[in-house]
Amino acid sequence: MSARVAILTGAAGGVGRAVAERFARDGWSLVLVDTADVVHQVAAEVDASAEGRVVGAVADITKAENLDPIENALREIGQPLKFLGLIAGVLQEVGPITTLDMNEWDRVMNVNLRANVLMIQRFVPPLKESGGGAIVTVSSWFGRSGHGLFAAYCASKAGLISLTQSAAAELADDNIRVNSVAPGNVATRMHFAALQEEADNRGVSFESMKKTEWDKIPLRRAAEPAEIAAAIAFLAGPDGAYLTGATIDVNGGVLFT
Amino acid sequence: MSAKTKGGAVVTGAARGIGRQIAEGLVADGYGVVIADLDPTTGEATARALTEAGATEAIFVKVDVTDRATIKAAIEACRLRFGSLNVMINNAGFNKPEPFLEITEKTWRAILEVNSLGVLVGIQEAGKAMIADGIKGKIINTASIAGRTGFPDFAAYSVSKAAVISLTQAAARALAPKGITVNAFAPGVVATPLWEQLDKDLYAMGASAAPGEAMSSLASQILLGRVADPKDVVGTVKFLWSEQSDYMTGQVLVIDGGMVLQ
Repeated sequence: MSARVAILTGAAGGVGRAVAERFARDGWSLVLVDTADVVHQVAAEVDASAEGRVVGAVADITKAENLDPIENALREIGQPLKFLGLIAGVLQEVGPITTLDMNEWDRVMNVNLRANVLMIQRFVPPLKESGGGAIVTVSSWFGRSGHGLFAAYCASKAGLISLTQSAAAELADDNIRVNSVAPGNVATRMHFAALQEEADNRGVSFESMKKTEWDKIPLRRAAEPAEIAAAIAFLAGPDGAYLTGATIDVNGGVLFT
Repeated sequence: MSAKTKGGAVVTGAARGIGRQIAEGLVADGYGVVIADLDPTTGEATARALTEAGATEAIFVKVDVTDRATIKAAIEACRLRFGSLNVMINNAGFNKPEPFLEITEKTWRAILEVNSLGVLVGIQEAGKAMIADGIKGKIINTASIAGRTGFPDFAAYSVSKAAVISLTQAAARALAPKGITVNAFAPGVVATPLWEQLDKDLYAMGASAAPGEAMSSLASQILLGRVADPKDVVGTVKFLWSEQSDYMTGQVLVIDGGMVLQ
């Protein structure tokens, strides 16, 4: 396979790391982006199994001026950019709209929405230079429908699906396909922390909270991060070549769209 | 005796068009495939061609999807020849355009009988066979973007494909406890015999001004700038029959080059 680079945001998280491992196995070189230094360690660990090069970049991607380390890492690898995986996301502090702290609203919107606009603005030019490629956003089943106490998160992910469609419409002529993967519950630290928080709020045990949530899923379990990575890899590869503006719901049947 | 397979698959409406390409993809991926179709001449020829080209085998069984006994027979043939039914593709369907105010009961019934009832029966019989053999199988139905939004000159077809989406969701819930997943894919405009006929019918009806115009005007609404080749659809269906999509059920994967953006 010819040399090519993917940039992955949120690479130190559960899904991000699984995507990094999958893409490395598929022969990609990678720029792994996260806010924490630990991304360098992730890059070193993923590198071991890769044919390509894997470089970490620490960046708070909610501000345009912070994206330079990503571009430097891309330049350091020196291969054409063919994929942008916009995986980074945050949950909100659970609570009603009436008392929602607008700083919290801004924090969620900045990471889940604004950062992705900034990433697209900065990295579409190198995608065009390499003759096109693919962008995949990671949205959520909470972006497919609204849920009480999660207004900011749901709105941010619904916005991300909409952003994905607008970008697909604008970039098709540049041979850049833009699609989204909307996971349901994924067995990551983020999911387990959210379950714990809700269990504490309701005064029930973690196990009983987990059972309540997982019983709503026809397949009766959360996804493995690798299963989300598989859908992203499908959209990035030749089998997904006729898809753009689409959202793939990998949610165990918890929501039908 | 055929080479060792990953298991068996039945594809309805597989003599030509999208069904044939899916069957070819399954053979290439190591499945033994039953070409289930109304048309024995083309169906036999397709089975022969796929067997000659592939590592595994394709056999033809004459099936009318509105006749439960023939679907059962195709599934039985699959189990006998390939050991089990692992993948069921309910793909058979047809379209006959009529202006909305002139839709006849006859056309409505014929289209719903094949496109919707045929899919119900296909899911039922596949589900029973998979449960009997303890197979955590994959059932995949051919929907359409017409099932997501209505078109004035083929209302019955739109209804029939919306029904396919509903059946996919109901079956996903019904069969999840058995480890069987049910998903659909929704193609946009694909260069198939169905669409060639549709283009002719629309011209004959006066809904388009020249042959080929109906199809090309739709193509201009596609972000990727072209109608799909049947081959374009196979990658998506392959994703759905592979273990890569094990966490998906009840979903509709829109494969339209960017038309409906849902």
